[in-house]
Amino acid sequence: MTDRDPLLDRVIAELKRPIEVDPAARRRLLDAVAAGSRRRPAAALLRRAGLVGVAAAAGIVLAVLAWPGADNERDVGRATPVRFALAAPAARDVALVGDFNDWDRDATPLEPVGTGDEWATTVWLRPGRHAYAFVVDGMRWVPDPSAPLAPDDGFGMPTSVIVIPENM
Amino acid sequence: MSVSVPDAELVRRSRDGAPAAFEALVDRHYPDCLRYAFRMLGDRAEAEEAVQDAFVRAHRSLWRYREREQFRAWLMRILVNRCRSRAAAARRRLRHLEAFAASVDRMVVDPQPGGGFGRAVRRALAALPPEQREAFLLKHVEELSYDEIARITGAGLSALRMRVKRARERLAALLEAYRDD
Repeated sequence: MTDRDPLLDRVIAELKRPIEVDPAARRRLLDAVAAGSRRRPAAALLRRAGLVGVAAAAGIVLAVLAWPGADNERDVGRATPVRFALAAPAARDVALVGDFNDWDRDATPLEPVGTGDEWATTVWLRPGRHAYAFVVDGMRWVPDPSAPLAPDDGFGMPTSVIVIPENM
Repeated sequence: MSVSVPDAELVRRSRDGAPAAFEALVDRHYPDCLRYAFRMLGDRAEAEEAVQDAFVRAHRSLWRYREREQFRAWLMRILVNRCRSRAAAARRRLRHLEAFAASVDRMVVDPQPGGGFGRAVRRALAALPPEQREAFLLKHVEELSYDEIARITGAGLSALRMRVKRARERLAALLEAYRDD
């Protein structure tokens, strides 16, 4: 609908002309998709860090701990250990997903704490802003009730946000 | 007669690990995505990168897709954000171009011998503020509804209508010299 301005109709028709697809670009795209589905960088990083969850109240708790050693320093840089927790008494499993683990449901499972009403894990995050959420029982998307919501990230699901300062 | 498999079914097959299903989604939506990204960014290489990035992120996040939303609109939302990020990075790299765009914004695009109407349209489009260009392309070129554009961009309906209106007025003014061609 252009209020029938013939000039704008011509403009829109010009802009609607398809752009010729480069077969090489299409191939690169499919290769990148295949490569992306093979790699699990954040999961590997977290496994190297060897972290486990510990008991605490629901919500995230920034725990400033001693640097664990030099072995993985090159990998985690100036990362800070951050504890994520969610009260989910009826859950069968809970996972943490975020921009730090490529939103991979399998990368960062939470462990039940105490009686199992709470689930928690600790991950190492670099300074900066991180968006994240919990996934309960494989599909139910739950933003962190104790953290502010992030602006829409484009995927249509509410996410929480945490900011790790530079000088933690 | 050919039977087209619905997007939602291709998504289900992709989630089940069938690469051919996602490849079919790529082939179905790549042309529109490339057109939007190219019109938005004005550079083919940047557009191809943005589209590739959008599909990689979509594939990684397929499990977050809900069938109550059209797959095309969901994919466009990811692409719009990728284009915004790339445009912002490009602006940071080339701050002086903003001053150039501001100067173009105030002028009329003159017909150029050999340049053609298509080139003039591209120049006029590039002179629009990004939020107007984005809304205009999504509404008139990709033919999305205002409700869909609101979900994609996060902007309110009245703001979107105003952006499209201003984009149309600006384009008509910039290209006035071509009205009687």
